[in-house]
Amino acid sequence: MSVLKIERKILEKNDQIAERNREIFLSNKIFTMNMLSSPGSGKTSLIEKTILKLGGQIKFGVIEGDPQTDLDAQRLNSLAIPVVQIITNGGCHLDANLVNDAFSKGSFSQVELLIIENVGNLVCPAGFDLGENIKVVVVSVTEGDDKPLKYPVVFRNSSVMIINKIDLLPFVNSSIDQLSKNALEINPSLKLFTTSCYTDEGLDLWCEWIKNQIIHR
Amino acid sequence: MHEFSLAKEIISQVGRIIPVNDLPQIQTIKIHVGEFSNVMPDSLLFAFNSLIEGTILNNVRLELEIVALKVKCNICQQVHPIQTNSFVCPNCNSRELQLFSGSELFIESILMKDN
Ligand SMILES: Nc1nc2c(ncn2[C@@H]2O[C@H](COP(=O)(O)OP(=O)(O)OP(=O)(O)O)[C@@H](O)[C@H]2O)c(=O)[nH]1
Ligand SMILES: [Mg+2]
Ligand SMILES: [Zn+2]
Repeated sequence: MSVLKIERKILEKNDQIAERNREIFLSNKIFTMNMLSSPGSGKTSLIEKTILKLGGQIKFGVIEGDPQTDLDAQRLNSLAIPVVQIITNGGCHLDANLVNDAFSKGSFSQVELLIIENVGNLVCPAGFDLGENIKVVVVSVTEGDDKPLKYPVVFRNSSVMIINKIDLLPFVNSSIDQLSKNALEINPSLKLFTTSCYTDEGLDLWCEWIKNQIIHR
Repeated sequence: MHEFSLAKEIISQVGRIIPVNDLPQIQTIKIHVGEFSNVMPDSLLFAFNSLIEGTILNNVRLELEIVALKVKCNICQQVHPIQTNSFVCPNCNSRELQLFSGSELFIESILMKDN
């Protein structure tokens, strides 16, 4: 019997392509955000709202990832920005290669902020580097305030957490305080925002923060 | 379900490393899986075993070593294992911690039968 030492990452290929993506984004001066959440927490709604508020000031591009349909891309079509839909055919996460492909299909070279909406899933996408600058995790109040404790990896790996659907707080028994506390328990450097895409509450602070990221990118 | 993608990656990486003629000599592939890597060991084994069935790698064993989540404290410099849902230094209660281990996901070694 002989033993061959290998010591190579299983996701080595993905990480190499992610590194290439990072170089492409950097050389085009594009700030990239990888948005993660459970299905239906409001990723597309937040993207729509953000573009409606900042579209005049920042050049956006969006890559949409879904297991099936281009419904999310269709929703963004009226916003007059470059959008590419990735359909993963049931796949539970985006990988760096899919993003690399999508990027070459869109006209993104003038874009300042590229938002990548990942497949709705708090587990699988967390381990795949896409070459993004930051991961933004979205949780809605209807999901309960224990999500950070149940899905710690994605909260640890994200820079920002958006608590969405706060207009629904009166109807559910989860609290922003508890949700924030649980998230900070996992990752004390998480930047927190609370938003509603129905009342627009909190969206201005979020947009202000994004503008700063773009200016200082 | 990303365990299937990971199992495919393991198989294709082994295919890149080991010359085709030597593939039947592979007995065991040893991998390290961090406790904080979001990988379910049983799903990964199931995915791997389903994918190799009827192929040249048919009887290869995938051996998983689970690596515990440990953090290094920026304040007291000590390394400690922690629970996945509480990032607090067990020694000094600081929250300024770096991941020391637990996110691993790599092929450690391949055991080959001698021919
Ligand atoms: N009440 C309320 N509903 C919201 C809010 N944001 C989004 N929604 C609704 O929640 C549902 C899902 O929103 P989407 O924006 O499609 O969520 P998503 O995360 O993009 O969903 P997937 O891409 O399918 O994972 C839609 O019916 C939205 O109208 C909010 O702040 N408050
Ligand atoms: Mg969506
Ligand atoms: Zn300490």
